Amino acid sequence: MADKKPVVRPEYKNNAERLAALKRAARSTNDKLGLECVTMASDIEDTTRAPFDVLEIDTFIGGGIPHGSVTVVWGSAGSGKTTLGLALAAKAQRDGKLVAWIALEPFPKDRAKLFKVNLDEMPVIQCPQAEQSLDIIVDYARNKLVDVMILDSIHSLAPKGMMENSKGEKSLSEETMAILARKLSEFFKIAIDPIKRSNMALLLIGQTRIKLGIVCIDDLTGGNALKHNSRLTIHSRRGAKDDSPVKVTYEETGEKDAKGKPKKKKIETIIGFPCVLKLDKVQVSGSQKEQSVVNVPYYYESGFDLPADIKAEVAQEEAEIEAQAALEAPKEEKVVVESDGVGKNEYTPAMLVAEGFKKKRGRPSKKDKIDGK
Amino acid sequence: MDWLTKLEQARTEQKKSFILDIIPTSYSELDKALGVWGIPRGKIVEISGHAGVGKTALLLDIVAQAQEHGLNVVYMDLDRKFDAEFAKNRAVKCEDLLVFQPDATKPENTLKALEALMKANLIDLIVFDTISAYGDGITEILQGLAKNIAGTKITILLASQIRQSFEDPRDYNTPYMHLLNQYCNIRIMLKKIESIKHDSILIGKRIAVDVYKNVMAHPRTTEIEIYI
Repeated sequence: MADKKPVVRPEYKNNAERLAALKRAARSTNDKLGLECVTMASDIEDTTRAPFDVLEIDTFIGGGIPHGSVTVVWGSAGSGKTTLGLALAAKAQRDGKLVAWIALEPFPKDRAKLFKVNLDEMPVIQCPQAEQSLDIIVDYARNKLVDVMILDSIHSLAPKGMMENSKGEKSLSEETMAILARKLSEFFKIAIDPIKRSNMALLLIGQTRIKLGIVCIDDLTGGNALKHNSRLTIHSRRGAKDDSPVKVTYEETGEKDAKGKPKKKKIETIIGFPCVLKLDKVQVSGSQKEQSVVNVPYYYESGFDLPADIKAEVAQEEAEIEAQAALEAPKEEKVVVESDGVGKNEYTPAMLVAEGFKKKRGRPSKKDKIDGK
Repeated sequence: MDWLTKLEQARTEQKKSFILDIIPTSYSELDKALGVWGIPRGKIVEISGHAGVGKTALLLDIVAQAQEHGLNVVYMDLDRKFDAEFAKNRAVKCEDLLVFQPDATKPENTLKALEALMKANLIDLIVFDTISAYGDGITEILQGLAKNIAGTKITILLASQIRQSFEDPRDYNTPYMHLLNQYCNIRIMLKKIESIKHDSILIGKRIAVDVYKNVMAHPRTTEIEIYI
């Protein structure tokens, strides 16, 4: 048998020299491939965020959904998923970004107008087949057409194999088990790279199904690929009825009490529901830890924004307190207040009032009610 | 020269020429379960698990250990989810880590670039996160890598996604399972048992590790705790 020639591999004096050679080689591979694909980890740019403009949610997920990757929001029917998408679109347009909406469910035009989405600048894509809409996402990403893209919803995607059988006839008789999951798994293999390079934020809205087994639990439709390939997965559901935001009004009953004052009847009307968001998977920095929960009030009238009448009341209260502070301003005294053991801060009385107001403010719930008047 | 000083000199020289034959995983239970106290060099190792179980965290921990022992690492970021801040938290030296974001639809280009680095003796550990991002090109990649690492100390770590088994819906397996079973020397499956909480905030996960294929030792199971 002929002896095999031993493979000659170059040797290096020390690790530092070897590392320098590796960096040089990396640069040359970039030139060879004609693609900026090899970088040192410290040179990778930080991810920018697309916020929802809802303070609670933005602080919860660390400043918004990440650009250049996929985010999934899923939950039961009527838990504020589409509204989240509209809030994202409206805020992105205010920031001068371009938004596209893939509507597989009927597009909520009236609600979009309510959230001040600029409908003239937002293309709404309605394709009958799943392949067409998924191709559009890849196409838009490759040509860097939009900054934010929203798909509503995953479960409504109907692949071609589901609509036609092998002979091209329309029928429901074909075996279509897990066809959407397989299609989505293929889609991510193709789309992940263009989405990253175009720095597009893709929000996928998903629905629930019940996973059968020993214990039946809610699960996301569309297979495992969605969970594997998303960087942020948020589960939304309706919270307990007791936490829902209420509006308190007083009505005169006409009767008088012992002191001669007119009796008032307290009426509480529910004006929304609590939207409970839970982080299923997090791979972004600055957010809350996995599986943590936040409770955001949702108003039927105005979504995640405060309703106009409550907003006006808050503004009025603010103005009143400012006026009061202006009266007290001339005789300024410095009050020393201890702030949680760290050190002593100096506050003026006006600042104290404002501080107290800040604590009292926030969104109304049953615990701290904002009176009707 | 005194015999003691001679011995000391010999020992220091031995230390210099000593080449690490394993990469410790930084989890003593997992090291023990692997049978050789770490991930053996010159082998292909696959780690699979559900989404969010801690595959990337475990990979980055191993990368940090490899860097500590002076090995050069290439991180193939196929899922495009590499976060420098997340890596820094797991003690990875980002300025020394080479991140490769190749086009998954053209595996032959990737293989060429990696071959050039391997022939120049520049890398010791290649991490694929995740190998499932390759479609049909996975065969070419695995063939090319297996050819090139023969007779060297280059280790290859593959993270792999999971899918539901068609035969038994309660069971899970990895995509391209037969192919991976051929090429991988060690296969590890991670399964979440429970989350570790402190003051109702999640700080880590307790994970069942199943080393179900191992060419170095018997297959074993164990439990580890990965902290965020």
